[in-house]
Amino acid sequence: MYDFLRFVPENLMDLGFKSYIFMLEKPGICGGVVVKAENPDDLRKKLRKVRKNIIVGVTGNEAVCREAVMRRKVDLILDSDNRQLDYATIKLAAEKDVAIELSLAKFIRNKGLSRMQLFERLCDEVRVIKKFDVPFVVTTAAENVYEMRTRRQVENFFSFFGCEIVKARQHATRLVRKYYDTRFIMDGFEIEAELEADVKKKG
Amino acid sequence: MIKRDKKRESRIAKERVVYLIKRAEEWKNKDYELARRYVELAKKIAMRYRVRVPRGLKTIYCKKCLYPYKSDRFRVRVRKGRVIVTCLNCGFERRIPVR
Amino acid sequence: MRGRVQGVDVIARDWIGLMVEVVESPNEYEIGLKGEVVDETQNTLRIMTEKGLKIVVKKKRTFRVWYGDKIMRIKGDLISYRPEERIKKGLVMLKRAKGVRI
Repeated sequence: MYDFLRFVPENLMDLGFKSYIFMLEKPGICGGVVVKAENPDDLRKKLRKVRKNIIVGVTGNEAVCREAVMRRKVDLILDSDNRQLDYATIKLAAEKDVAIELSLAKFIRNKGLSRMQLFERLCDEVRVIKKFDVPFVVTTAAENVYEMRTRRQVENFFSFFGCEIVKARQHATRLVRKYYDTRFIMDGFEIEAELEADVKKKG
Repeated sequence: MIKRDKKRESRIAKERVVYLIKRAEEWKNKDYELARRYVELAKKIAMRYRVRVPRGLKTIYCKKCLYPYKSDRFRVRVRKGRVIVTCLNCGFERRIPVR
Repeated sequence: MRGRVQGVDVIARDWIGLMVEVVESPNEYEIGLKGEVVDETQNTLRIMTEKGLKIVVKKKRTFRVWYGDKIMRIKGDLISYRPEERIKKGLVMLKRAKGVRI
């Protein structure tokens, strides 16, 4: 299970995650890039600058998300307070193999009525995700230290809303392995070993 | 829609065609039916990706029944300025002009 | 960071003549069959094992393949096309998969 953070904390606590992916605006040593866009045209422009071989996450409004799903470079649609996904976008995400992030931080940030609306939106999203078997990841998406939570908390929270946590874990590992594991090629296609080492074993 | 990499496709196809026909040549004395199958596959690949079968390998098998020529199964005669290769499996005659 | 991986295009190549082992299968008697692929159809592989010719269905099985200098593990569902069609399908499949460079 991996967690996607929006910042680099000074000292990492052990919260039960296997590892952390840092989604930053400027690509760092390890992790991914966040592309923030106002409108679809803006997104296209910014995506052109992003180099390959890195996890690309996109934040923005509904129109941006819809455009992002269709782009090949995009791997992840990041969660934000005002993110809205319509039915068609989520369905398309399943076809194009773009993961959808469900984050805990936005529930912590908001209060009262706006939080209630977020719950409602989450329920809708989860229903569609289940229906089409869309790749999704559950994360904290913390922007500072105070929003970081343990793995169990995150998983319990989302399983209450009906997410299949086992699947979320699979999707997260798959997403990371795609970029950082040379052994992994695609689903059901892995390199087990280079033969030179193996020949010695056989003798 | 993703663009197909046709150059790469035809390169792989070429290698496969050559490989399969050569393999048919190796196997024709062990398993004649299987050798025919290899030629058939090679031909299918060549046709689908519009790759030429190299000229040297073309004369290895019968054009009609696709069995590779094997000793006792074909006849070669030279007549009227042509080489006539008869396949004894199907009786097909291939005439190759001598230049 | 991963770059270009050699030999990934097995799915587009000839399986005839490769060494193959059945790793996973719903039929437990098939597991461990190992040998050279002799013939291939859309749904099956014919494997020449020590005990003779065996026909193994491609779908729902996982194969271990020796190709070039690598050992690979491939799900049969990925290659369950006609052998001549696989050049096109395999390359498109590799192109579509994210993060892969052939």
